[in-house]
Amino acid sequence: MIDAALLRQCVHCGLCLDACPTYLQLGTEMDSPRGRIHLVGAVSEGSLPLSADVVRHLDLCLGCRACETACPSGVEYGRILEAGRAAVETQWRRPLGDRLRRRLLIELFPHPRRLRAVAGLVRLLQALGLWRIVTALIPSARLMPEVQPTSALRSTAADGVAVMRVALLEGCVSGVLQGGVNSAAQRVLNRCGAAVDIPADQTCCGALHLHAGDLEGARRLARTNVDAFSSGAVPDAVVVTAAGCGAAMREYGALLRDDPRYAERAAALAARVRDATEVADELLDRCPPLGARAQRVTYHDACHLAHAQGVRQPPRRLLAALPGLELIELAESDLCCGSAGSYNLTEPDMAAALGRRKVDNIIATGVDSVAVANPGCALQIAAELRRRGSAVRVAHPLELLDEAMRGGEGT
Amino acid sequence: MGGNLYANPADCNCAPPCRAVIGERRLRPVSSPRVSPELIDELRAIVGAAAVVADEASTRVYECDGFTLARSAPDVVVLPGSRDEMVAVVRKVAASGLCFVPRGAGTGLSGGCLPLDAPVMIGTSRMRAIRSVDFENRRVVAEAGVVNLHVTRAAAAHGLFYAPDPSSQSACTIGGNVAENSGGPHTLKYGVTTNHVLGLELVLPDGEVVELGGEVDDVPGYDLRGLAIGAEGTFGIVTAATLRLVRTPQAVRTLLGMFRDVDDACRAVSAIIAAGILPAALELMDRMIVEAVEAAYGFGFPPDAGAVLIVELDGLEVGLGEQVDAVRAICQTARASEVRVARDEAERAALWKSRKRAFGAVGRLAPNYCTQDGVVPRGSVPEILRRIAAAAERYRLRIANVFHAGDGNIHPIMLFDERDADEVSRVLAAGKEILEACVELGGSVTGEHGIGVEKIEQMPLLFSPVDLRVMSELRLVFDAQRRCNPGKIFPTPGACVETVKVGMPRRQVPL
Amino acid sequence: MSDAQVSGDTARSIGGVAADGAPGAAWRYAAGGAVPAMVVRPRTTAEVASVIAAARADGLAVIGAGKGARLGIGNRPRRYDIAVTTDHLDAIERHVAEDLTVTVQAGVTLEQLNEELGRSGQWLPLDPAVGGETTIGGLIAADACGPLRHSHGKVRDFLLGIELVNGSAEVVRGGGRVVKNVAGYDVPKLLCGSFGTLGVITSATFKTRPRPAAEALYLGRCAGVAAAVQLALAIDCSAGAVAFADALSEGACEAIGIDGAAALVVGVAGSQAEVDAESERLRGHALAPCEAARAASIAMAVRNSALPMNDDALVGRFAVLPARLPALLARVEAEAVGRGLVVETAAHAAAGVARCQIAGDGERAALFAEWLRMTVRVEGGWVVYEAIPDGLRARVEAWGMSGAAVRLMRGVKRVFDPDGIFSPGRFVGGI
Repeated sequence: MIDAALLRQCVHCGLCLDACPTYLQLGTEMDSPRGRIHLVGAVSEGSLPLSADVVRHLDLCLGCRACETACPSGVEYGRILEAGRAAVETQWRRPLGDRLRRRLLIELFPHPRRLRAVAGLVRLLQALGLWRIVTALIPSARLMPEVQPTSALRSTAADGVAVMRVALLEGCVSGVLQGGVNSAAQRVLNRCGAAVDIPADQTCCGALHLHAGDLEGARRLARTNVDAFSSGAVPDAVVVTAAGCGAAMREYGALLRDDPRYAERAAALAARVRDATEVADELLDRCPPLGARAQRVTYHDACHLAHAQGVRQPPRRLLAALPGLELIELAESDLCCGSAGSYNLTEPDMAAALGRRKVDNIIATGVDSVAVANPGCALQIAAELRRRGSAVRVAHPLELLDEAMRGGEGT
Repeated sequence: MGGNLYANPADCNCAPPCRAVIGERRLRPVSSPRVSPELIDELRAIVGAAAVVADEASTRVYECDGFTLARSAPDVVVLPGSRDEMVAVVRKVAASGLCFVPRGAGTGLSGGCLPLDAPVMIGTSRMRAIRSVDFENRRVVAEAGVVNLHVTRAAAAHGLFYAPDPSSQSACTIGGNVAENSGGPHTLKYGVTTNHVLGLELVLPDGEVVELGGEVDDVPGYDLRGLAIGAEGTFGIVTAATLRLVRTPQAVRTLLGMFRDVDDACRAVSAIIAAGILPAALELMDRMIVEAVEAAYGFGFPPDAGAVLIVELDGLEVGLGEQVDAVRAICQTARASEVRVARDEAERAALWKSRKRAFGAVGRLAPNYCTQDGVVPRGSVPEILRRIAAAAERYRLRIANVFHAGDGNIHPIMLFDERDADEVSRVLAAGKEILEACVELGGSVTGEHGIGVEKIEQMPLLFSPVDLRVMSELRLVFDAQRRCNPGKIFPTPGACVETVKVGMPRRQVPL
Repeated sequence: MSDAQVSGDTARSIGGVAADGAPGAAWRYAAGGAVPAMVVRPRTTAEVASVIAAARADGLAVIGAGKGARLGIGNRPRRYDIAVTTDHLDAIERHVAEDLTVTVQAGVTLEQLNEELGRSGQWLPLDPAVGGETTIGGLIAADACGPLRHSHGKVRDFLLGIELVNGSAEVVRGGGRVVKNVAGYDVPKLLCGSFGTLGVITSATFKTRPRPAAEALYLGRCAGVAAAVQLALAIDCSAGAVAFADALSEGACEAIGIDGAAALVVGVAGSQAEVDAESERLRGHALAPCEAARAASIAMAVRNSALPMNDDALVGRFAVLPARLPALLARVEAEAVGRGLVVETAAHAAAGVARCQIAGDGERAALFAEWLRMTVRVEGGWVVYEAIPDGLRARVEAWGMSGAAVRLMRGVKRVFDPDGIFSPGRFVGGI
C-alpha cells in the first residue's frame, strides 16, 4: 500500500524524536515520527493489523514536518504520513461522530463562499454579543477572531516599472479570515515593483484534503489551480501568504505525477511557488523609504514554512530591516503551535497544550508583537494570547512591512 | 521494512520458543512469564493511564532501538514521570518477579534496550526535568530523560557546555548516555561521559535508591559511579545524574585538509599528535564518502580528493593561530593538495554538516548499509583500513570509511542490497572479520556503540573467561536475580543457538 | 584465618618467592600502624599469583605495596601478614607515542614514567606528593593526585586498562589499551582508590597527554587560606590556561620563603602565547610572577603540601563545591582555634579540595575530627583522614562512609576477594 523505498529511508536512528511536538508532550514512541513510520511499515507489510490504536497515533500527528528538518537520512515523512492517512481513509471505518466532524471540515473550509456565509453569521453573532454562547458549546470556536468584512482582491499593476509579475493565491481560510494579509502583501509587492495578478478561477490549495488523507479531493482542487494559474502569461512566481497553502502547492508535482494531462504543468507550477516573505525579502532593496517605529517583535516559524518549505531567514531578514524594530529570537521558535491546519479542530487537547507552550515562550520574550506567516498559526496564537489577556499583537510579517511603508510615506 | 526479522515461533524448534533473533543466531529462549492484566492496572494506578503502553500496536514500536537487526516487543511499557513513580514501578515489577529493560530515547546502536526475556520496559522519556543548574560550581543535576543537547542549551548563556556530544545528541538522553558511556567527535580532547558525570541516582532492581558518587569528585569507597557508567543498564535504572559543565572555549578553528589518499591523511594525523597538538576533533572521510558527499550536497571538495581530514582546534584566541599554522604545515608536508580554514561560524557549521551528513549521502549509494564500530591504536589506522579494503575485495562489497581518526575509532560502512541474501551474509562475515582484525591490532570491538546484543559473540575475543566471570559477578552485586536488562553484554552458556533462516537486516544507523 | 601465622618455611619464602630478609624491611611497609610479618618482591605477574595462592591457602592477609608511600592511609588492618611489593615489576611495557597511550608495570614510579614519556614530549599529568616514591600501582590504589587535578582530572580520567591478581590468585584484566573502548564493565575505575582491597595491581594502561610548551607560576600573598581560595575563585580558573591554583598555609609559605599568612600559587601552562596572555590577566588580580630559579622548589612545595607535617598530625582531606570552600575553611579555622587546636590548611582552591592538619591534644583533636566530618557532610562533602596518629586510631575512623552504597561495595569486595585476604579492615565500612 506504500512505497517500500520511502520507508526504507528511515534507519530508525531517533534523531527526529526531540523535534516532534507530540513526542515532547507525551514522551511516547508511537507518537513520534519514528514510531509512526514503524506503525505504517508494520501495517504495510501486514505484520500489524490496522486498528483504532494505529489510527489514533496517526491522527495525533500535526503534520508539522519538523522531523524532516531533523532527519539526517532525508526521510520524506510527509509523504509517508499522507500515504498512511490515505490508507486509513480507505481501509478504516471511523466512529460516526468522528466521520461527521471530519466531513464538516472538508465541506466548509475549502469553500470560500460557504466560509464567507458562516463568517457573516459569526460576525452577526459577535456584534450581538451572542458568540459567547457558541464558544461555550463548541470550545474550538474560541479560535474565531473578530471577523472583519473582506472584499475580493483584484489584479493590480506595479508602482512604477514592473520588475516582476506574480500571481497571488487568495486562499480559502486565509482569504476569508485574514483578508487583510493578502491586501497588505499586494500593496507591498506593488510598491516594490511587482505586478500582482489574482487569477480568477483559483480555488482552495487542497492542503486540508491532503492532510486528511483525501488524495482524490486534493487532486481535484490541484487540477483547478493548475488550470487557473497557467491560463494566461506565466507569472515569475506564484505568491502565497499562507505557509500551509504554499507547502501544499509545492507538492502539486508529486500529487499529479501520474496524471498525464497535468503532470508537467503541475510540476512547473509547483516549482514557481514562493512564500510572500521570500519575494518581499528579495525585492526589499527596491522598496520605498520606511517609517521608523520602535517595537519589539519575535518571529514564530510556521511549520509549513520552516520545515515544509525550508524558509527561515527571509522573514527574519525582512523584519530586521524595519527601522526601529528589535527582533528577539523565540525559544522553540520552530516547534509547532498546535494549529496545524484543522488539527486544533480535530485534536483540541494536544492543540491547546502546544498553544500554551508556544505562548509561554512568546510571553517570555517580552515583545509587543509576534510575527506569524501562516493564518492557522495566527488564529491559534491569537486565541491563546486572548485567553491570557495578553496585549501581544499577532501580525503577518508583510503587515508589519506594509505599516512601515505607510509610515514612510511623505518622508 | 524488514519485518521478516520478527521471531516466528513456528520456525523454531526450541522449547520454549525464542523471542528474538540476530543474524542467524537465536538470542534467548522465552522463559519469563507474561505481564498480567492486574499488573498493568497496578502500574496505571502509579503513573496514570497515559504513561502505560500496553496495546499491540503501541508496544510494537518499542521492539528495537537504533539497532534494528534484532527485534522483540515488550508486553508493557511504563513511563514514570518522577523518581518516586520510578521507585514504585520498579518495586511493583520486582514483586511480580518479572524482568524489565530500561530505555531512554532508543537511539542506541547495539540493541542495548531490546527486551529479551523482559516483558516489562521502563522508559525515562517523561523524566525530563533539569533539577538544578549551578553555574558557579559548573554542575547540573539532570533527570535521566533529559536530552543531551538540552543540558548544553541550559548552560550556554553562561559560557558553559556539556562536553560529551554523541552524534545523536539532539535526541539521546542523559540516562542512555550514562548506560552506554557515550562519546562523540570531541572525545579526543574532552573525554567521554564517565569523565563528566560526578554522581548518579540509581534505582536498583528491587526498588532501593542508591546515590553513587556525589556532587564532588572525592567520595570515599569504590568508584561505583564509574562502574555503573557504561554498564548498559544492567545494574538498575539511573533516574538522575550530576554532570560537570566545561567552559566554552574562547576560540575555535576548523580546518579541512584534502589528501590524495587515506594513508597521507593518516600520516598527517600522526604528525599532528607527535607535534604535541591535541585537537578537539580529528575526523577522516575516505574517497567513497567524499564523492558521495560531493554528489549529494556539493560542498566543493576537489574531485581528486581521496581523503578529507577535519581538524578542529580550540582554546585561547592567542594560541590558536600558531596551532592552525602548525597543522596547516603538517598537512602540507603530508602532501595535502589543499588546506582550508573555515572563515566564520557559518562556514564551520557547513564543514561539520558535510561530516555529519556523510551517512545520509552514503545512503544514496545503495539501498542498505550497515555500520561497524571498532577501535585500533591510532597508529594502526592505516593498517586496519588496508584490512577493511582487503575484506571488501574478498567479500565483493563496497565499504566506505568515515571515522574518528583521532581516537582510532573506525566506522566502516558496508553497502548492500537487502534483497540479495548472499550479499547480506557476506556483509555479516566481513563485519565480523573487521572486528577480529581490530582486536588483533590491540584494539576493541566497540568504541562507543556498546556490546548490547550485537557484539556478545565478540566479548571472548577481548576478555578471558576469568575476566568475564568477574564482570558477571559484579552485575550480581547490583542485580542478584539478573532481572534488569537480561541477555546483554555477556555470552550466556545456556543460550539457544538454534539456527533458523531469517530475513535480511534493514540498513543500519550510521553514527 | 585469625589463627594463621606466617611460620616456618613461609617466613623465608611463600609461593616460591623469597622473602626480603633485610632488617627493617617490614617496617617500611607498615599500614595503618600494622607491620607485616614478611615482605616479598615477586618479579612477574605469575609470581604475584603464586604468592597470593599460597597466602590464600594459608589464610594469610596480604597488602600489595609499591614503595610504601601511602600505606598509612586507611584504618588499621585487622591482620596483615605479607607485603607483596611490586618494586621488581618495573618495566615500561609499551609506550605508543603516536597513540598517546602507555602500558606500564605497577612498580614503575610516576617520576620514572614521566621521564620516559618526556622523551616524546608527553606526560601523565598527575602530580601527587612524592612522585619519586609513588609507584603506578600505588598511584591507582590510593587515587593519588595533586594540584593538576584542577585542569586534568584524576587517575580515573587517564586509566584505560588494568591487570591485577585477585584474591583467588587469578589474573584479571579490565578495560583495554586504546583510548576509546566501551566493551564490558569499566573495571579499571573500581581499582582507583581501592587501597589494595581488591587485589594486587600488576600493570596498567594510561592515556598520555602532550606536555605543554610553556609553563609559569604566579604568587599572591593573602591574609589567610580562605582568602586565598576566594582569590582563586575571583580569577575564574576554569577559563584561560590555568593548570592549577593552590592555596598554601603560613607554615608551607614559611618553608619556601614566602612571608605572609597564606599564599595563592597559580600554575599556568600552554603555548608560549597562551602563557603570556594569562600573565596579563593574573597580574590584573595582583598576582606576581615567580622567578624561574624558585619556581621548581615552589611547585614541589605545593605538591608536597599534602603530606603530614609530622607523625603526630591528623590530616583530613575533603572536597566540597568550590564556591563553598572559602566560608567553610574560615569556619574550620575559627572552630579549631576556639577549641585550642593548632590547625594548618591548604587547598586545591579551584577544585574545591582542602586538607587540614591538626596538631594537638588527642581528645580535643578527636572531637574536632568528629565536628569536621559532620560539618563537611552537611556541605555535601566527605572527610577522609589520610593520616591518623596512632593514639587517635581508636577514636577516628579514616573514611566516614556509610549507607546503601557501602553494602554494594562489600559485594564488589567479595567478587574480587571472596576470602577477604587483601587489607582486611583497612577500607570503607570495614572492608
